[in-house]
Amino acid sequence: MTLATAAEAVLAAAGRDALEVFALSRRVRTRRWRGDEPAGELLRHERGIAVRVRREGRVGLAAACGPFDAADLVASARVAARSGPAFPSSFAEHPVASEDAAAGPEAPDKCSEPPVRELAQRLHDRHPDARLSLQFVESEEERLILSTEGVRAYDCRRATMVRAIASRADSGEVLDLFYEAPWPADSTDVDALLRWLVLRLRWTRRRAAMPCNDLPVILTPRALDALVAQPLAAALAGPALLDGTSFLSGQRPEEPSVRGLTLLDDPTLTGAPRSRRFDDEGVPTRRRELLRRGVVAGYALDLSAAERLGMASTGSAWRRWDAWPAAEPATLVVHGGSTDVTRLLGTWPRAVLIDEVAGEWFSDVGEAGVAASAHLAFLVEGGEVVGRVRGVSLSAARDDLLRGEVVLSQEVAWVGDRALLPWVHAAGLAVSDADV
Amino acid sequence: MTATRGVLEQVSGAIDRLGGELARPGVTGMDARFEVQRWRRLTLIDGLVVESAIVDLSVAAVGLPGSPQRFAAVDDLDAASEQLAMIRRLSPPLALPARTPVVDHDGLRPLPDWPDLDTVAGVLATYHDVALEVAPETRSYRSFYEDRRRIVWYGSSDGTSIVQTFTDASLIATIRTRRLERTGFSFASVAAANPDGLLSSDAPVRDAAAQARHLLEAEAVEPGPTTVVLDPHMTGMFAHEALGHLCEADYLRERPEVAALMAPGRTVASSLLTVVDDPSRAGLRGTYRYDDEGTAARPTVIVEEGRVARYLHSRATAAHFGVLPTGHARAQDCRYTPLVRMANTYVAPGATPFDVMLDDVDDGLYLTRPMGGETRIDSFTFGANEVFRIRGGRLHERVGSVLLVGDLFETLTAVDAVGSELAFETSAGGCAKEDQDALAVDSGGPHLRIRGCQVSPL
Repeated sequence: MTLATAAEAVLAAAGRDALEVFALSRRVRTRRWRGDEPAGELLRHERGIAVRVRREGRVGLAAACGPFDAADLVASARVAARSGPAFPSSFAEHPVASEDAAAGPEAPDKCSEPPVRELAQRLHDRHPDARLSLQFVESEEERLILSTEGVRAYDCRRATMVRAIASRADSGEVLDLFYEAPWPADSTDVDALLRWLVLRLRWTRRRAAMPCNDLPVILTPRALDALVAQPLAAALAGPALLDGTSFLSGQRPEEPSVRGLTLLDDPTLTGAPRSRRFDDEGVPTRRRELLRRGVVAGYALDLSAAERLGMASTGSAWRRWDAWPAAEPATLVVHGGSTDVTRLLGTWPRAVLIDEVAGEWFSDVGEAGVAASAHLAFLVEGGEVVGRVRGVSLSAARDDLLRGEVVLSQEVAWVGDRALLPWVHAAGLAVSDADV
Repeated sequence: MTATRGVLEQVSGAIDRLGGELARPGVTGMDARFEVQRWRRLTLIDGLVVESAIVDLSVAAVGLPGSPQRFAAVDDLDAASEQLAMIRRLSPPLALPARTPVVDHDGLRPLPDWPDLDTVAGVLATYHDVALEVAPETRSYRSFYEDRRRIVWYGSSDGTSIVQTFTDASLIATIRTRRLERTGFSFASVAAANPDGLLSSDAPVRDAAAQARHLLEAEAVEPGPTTVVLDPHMTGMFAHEALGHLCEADYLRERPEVAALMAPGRTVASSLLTVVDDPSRAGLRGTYRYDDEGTAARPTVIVEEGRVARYLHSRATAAHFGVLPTGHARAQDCRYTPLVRMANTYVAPGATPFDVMLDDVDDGLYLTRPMGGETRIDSFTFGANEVFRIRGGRLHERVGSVLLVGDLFETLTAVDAVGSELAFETSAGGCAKEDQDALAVDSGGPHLRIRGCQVSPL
């Protein structure tokens, strides 16, 4: 049974109830290498179908993976609706330009072989004691959304991600350096990945001590993502707004600060793995500002959250086949500034560069502050990284982080598949080392 | 569609079909699994249901044990048969030691009927009232309820055929309070074998609401090193995150640098610490009779008196390291390949009663209500939501939540007292590894005292 025939069968079982079908087929091929030696290949194919039924003003979801009877599935959704919420009151949205579901996915372009041997050799030449593990993850995802209220949306998206770990044992300590980014497979990416790993392997070879605690702080894209971008995205997404737990709930429009952070959600970004023309409820997507110079400018909402807040969906619904949609941004973007990274690092006689944080997720989005420890932090003197510092803690008031002065690098880098961010000096962030 | 209708017929059909193919002459070294599962979810915000879902899963998996690249999970038996034939044609079986086949179909019994979701939703809605009664400053109350009923068959070409049934219900409730500029956050996290066990008492929500209220006036601790006493739940989390994951043999096979740190016999903790993983321990969330490769569950001592003793193994990793499998090959469900995973991890009780342990602490912290944690090989960050000051050997006032951070092995070596009791956490949630993020596990232990532990306010 194809995705289309399965979904149509469920739609036909709707009877008088309003009904929405979400059918998903996801194929993932993961290839792994240790050094330049193949270390395995795993193929996964998962198909599932979810149906939301609205009956007597309440909505329930049922889902199945494996053989199913359309009438039974709809009956289960009706059972779930007995205890379900009143939202969404409509499964209809603006029509979207959709591919033809009956045609199925086009044959993929032949994927070029990842340059594993070249990567491993070039890293070995620079750091012979480091061991490289590589993963290339290719995915193909078909989505089909139908509703009795007129939604018909189908697409097929493909993406490849590279995950690299460079490991080195050093006087009883094992250090793992992680890199994860989309893989469009051009030579620039080989250079970018190598530069990233080589730099960090060099930086971690020497130890340094914090001379004092009141040093300027520079965040790499990865640290900016963990400390600022993702918590902010969570605070501006439906669930946190609904129950008022977001630290941005109830914020009123005000004059933007002169130098505060501007953050976009861009589902239209070319080459981004999470770009798409419609969300998982069939609502068209568009590029939106979430934060404009430190002040809230937009939200990420699905149909239910939007309706409860008296607003319109922003096309931000994401879902698995077995769960209700949840609102989250597609790709978080902070545009680069006018300073290159080298100049940014050299702006102060001394600074702390934070590359990887731990424990930031303990800080609740309702809290006005954020605290974390720095897993990878470096002392910078005269624009040069002089060594790794350990035992550094980070803290900030969230408002200060967003609205305080920020200096952004020209260069931007991917953080996984969810964010494209620059390096940043954030004036609102404080570091401390208990030994200082 | 009901939870139990046709389930036994589906499982029996899979045993006949896939078991028959495994039993064909010439088929060696092959595994098959089949699972029927129903899970239900309710999410409530401030007492109102915002999500209600019923999900059915029926999936078959075939492959070579210990070989993720020769594994296929499919949603119908015809496809499973085809995949089995293809893997057999393309891939020689791995060289694993022979074993005595087991046939155990005790688990082939109907799945239980459970209360309707609207009955469950009604009980959960009253918990919101409980939270408001205990903590009028509550500004947000969310609860996440989930229950699962699974029947799983495992078969092997060596003649092993096992059916097991698993049931599980869990509830996580989060409570956020506010008074002027102060905020508080706490949670209840409970699990049981069925919804009745879970919904019979509102005490966990009551306690969590009280803690969220206390945090509105709790004083923040000063950052720096101090003596901490962990309650049994904190101890269990520490054992799981800090030592358990480092003893999973599939990870160590891939990571020789880490394997060197965890070489058998190497001292990694205080000699007072012995850590065990026991999937055969009755009544816990991580309990099973056989793992997902048909190996019988049994306890494994992973750290004995501070030294690495044994690793947790699947059949393939056991063969690689030249030891016997320990029964720790587990998959979240049949869509996934089994990995080496923990089950019920605990620190073995020591000799120090709790009051004696406190007696020797002039100034320190007592940590309870673990918030989870993360480890990066030899460094860690753990959170404790509920913290009491210890002064002059006695528990005093509550203080704010804390983060514990530091070097893992240094901290484990600084354990200087192990309590004489043993308690398990049995909380909701699950253990994550690779692409499997919700495996049911349990952890526990006695109280532990650690000197010079680095804490910071959360």
